[in-house]
Amino acid sequence: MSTTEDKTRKVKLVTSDNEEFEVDWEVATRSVLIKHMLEDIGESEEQAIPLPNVTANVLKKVLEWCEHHRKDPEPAPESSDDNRKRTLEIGDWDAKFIQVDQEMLFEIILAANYLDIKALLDVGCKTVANMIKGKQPEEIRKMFNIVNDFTPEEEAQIKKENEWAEDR
Amino acid sequence: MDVLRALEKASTSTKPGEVEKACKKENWEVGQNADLQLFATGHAERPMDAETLSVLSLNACRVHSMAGILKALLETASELQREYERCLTPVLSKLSKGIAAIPDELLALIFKHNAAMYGRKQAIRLSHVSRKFRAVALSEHDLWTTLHSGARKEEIEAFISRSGRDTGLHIVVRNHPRHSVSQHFLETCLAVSSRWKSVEIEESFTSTDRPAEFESIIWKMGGASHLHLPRLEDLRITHLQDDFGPGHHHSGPNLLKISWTSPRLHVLALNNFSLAHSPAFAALTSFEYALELEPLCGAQIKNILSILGASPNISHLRLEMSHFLCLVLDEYRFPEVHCPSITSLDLRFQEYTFSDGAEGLIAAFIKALHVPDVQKLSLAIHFRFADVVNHIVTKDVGNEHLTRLSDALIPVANIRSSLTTLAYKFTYDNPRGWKNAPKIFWGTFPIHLDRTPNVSSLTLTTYTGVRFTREEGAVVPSRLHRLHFRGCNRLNGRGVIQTLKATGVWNSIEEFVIEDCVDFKSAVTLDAVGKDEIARLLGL
Repeated sequence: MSTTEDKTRKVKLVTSDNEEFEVDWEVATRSVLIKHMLEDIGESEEQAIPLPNVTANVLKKVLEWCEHHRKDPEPAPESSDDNRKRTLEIGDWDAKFIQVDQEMLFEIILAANYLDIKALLDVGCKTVANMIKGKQPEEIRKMFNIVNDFTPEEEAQIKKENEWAEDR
Repeated sequence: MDVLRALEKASTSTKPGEVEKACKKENWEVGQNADLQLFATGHAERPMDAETLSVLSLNACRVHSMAGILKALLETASELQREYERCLTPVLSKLSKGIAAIPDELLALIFKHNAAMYGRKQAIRLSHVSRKFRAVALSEHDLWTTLHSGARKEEIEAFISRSGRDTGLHIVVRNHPRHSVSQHFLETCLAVSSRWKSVEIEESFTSTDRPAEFESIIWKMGGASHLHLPRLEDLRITHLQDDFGPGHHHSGPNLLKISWTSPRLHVLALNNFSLAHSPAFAALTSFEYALELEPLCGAQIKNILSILGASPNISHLRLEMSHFLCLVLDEYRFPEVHCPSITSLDLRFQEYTFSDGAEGLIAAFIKALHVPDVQKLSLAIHFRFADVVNHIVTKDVGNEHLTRLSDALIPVANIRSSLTTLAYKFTYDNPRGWKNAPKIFWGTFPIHLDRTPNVSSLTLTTYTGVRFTREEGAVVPSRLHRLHFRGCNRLNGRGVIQTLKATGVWNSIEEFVIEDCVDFKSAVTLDAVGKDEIARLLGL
């Protein structure tokens, strides 16, 4: 539970390339990792939080998302393993926010995962899921520059699978 | 150690060009000796005297020592450099490798999103991209849990094998005359029935099948057997109509009754398909039912009520009725059922027509359905365009029907005291070819606020006029805080505000929203609100 004092507090974050960001507590604590680190260091306002896995340009983007979603309620814990309840819908603002090049998209996903920002991680993963919807394996390889590294035996198995996987 | 400190300091504070400057020999104290330049280039014509030899030897010693220190430092620095590279390269290289940098657990999450939305074929395609993709896809059991009746035998077997031993399965059945369900599929599914988590059936029959001979696929799936389905949570059955004949609802005395044991079946959704109530539905929390009314629809409605009456845990009910035009009776009576567990009620009437029969049916149904604790009520009516047009010329008839409809939906004798959220949505289609048809319906729908005394949020979408009423001299303050008009094409802002003020409701309003209302006159409405009230609302 955050207090009024917390909401006015500033937090310093230092990226892997030594850039320092000063942000509102409410913005920074969209990240569960940062929130826990702040709880660990207590009241010490001067102490910067090192983020060795995040570069400045990525953190800038992540903080932009956190700023926009600073008032969002805490996400509910994922209770079910039910795949079918998932939805690929992304809000308008998030959809625009995530219109970045592929490299930045994956860096945002990695940063969201490292910083433990579930909602942002979902936005990133859903965006990639949308990118590959209905694509054939070769198209997916081309899109993400993935090498087809199957052995001849595996290729034979895949060919066999393709025979029964055709639409009916 | 001073050298090391100086080097470490220099590594973080060297200014641009300083290293290049230091690399010039002339800038070194030991590199500025004129005799060194002279003797080194062979231009000295005199022999080297003892003093010069002494100075050069001393400097040579210093340079030797410096080279030794630098060499040792370089070796250590290089070793440290290698250690840092070993540590950081894997991390840094991932940062610039796109999808290759994504760890398996995140890739699996992406795959799950993808497969959930775009079907089971996605899992197969993903497993054919690369070895890494295949390994991730095959290890993720959730990607292989949908058993589809249209799949080939090999696919069904591969999916069962890849879904692990304990993952819940989703059974999807499409049973149509041209795509009947294979015996192999049925047998395979029945063999893993203890893992069924959801069952979704869509079926149809041709006009040559007579209903009496029609056997739903659910029977072949063991509907009449005492199957134990400990994990089944969601059952959906849709019966599609063909173009040549009427639909088949399985209504009447020969209603099908499921004999399963399904202690976790929480969601039942039936579309044009009726089932008799069964102990299999005892744990239902959500019931969705869409049906096309038959001319004599009494049995259909009684069946719905019997399921509701025997399901003590349903909290959400969504009921959709259509085809009101076919009704042949004007009056209905149904046995009353008490459903205290229902807190959310969503009623939708499609192809609704203004008629005594339609109003009588709704009134009788609402009267029979006792939902004393309903908190959220959504009433959506989609009108037939012909009715909307026909009533333009007879305003009184339109008003009369709307008044009866309002009374049927929320009867005067049925005060909804637990209701906090109420939404009305009245729409109609404007068919092609009717572009020049009049678009204004001269009828007004009355909303009796005293029948819903605790509603705090009211949302309205309607093509009709709206009139709010409240018992004169009401002493209980209104609790209506939020009033939202969305897509109301005949909104008379001034009239609404005046009515709300006259009924004492306006004082409780905290949020008043007008959205997409054509012909809405904002200036006139704001004038009716008054400057003081606008200031009050802005201050909230």
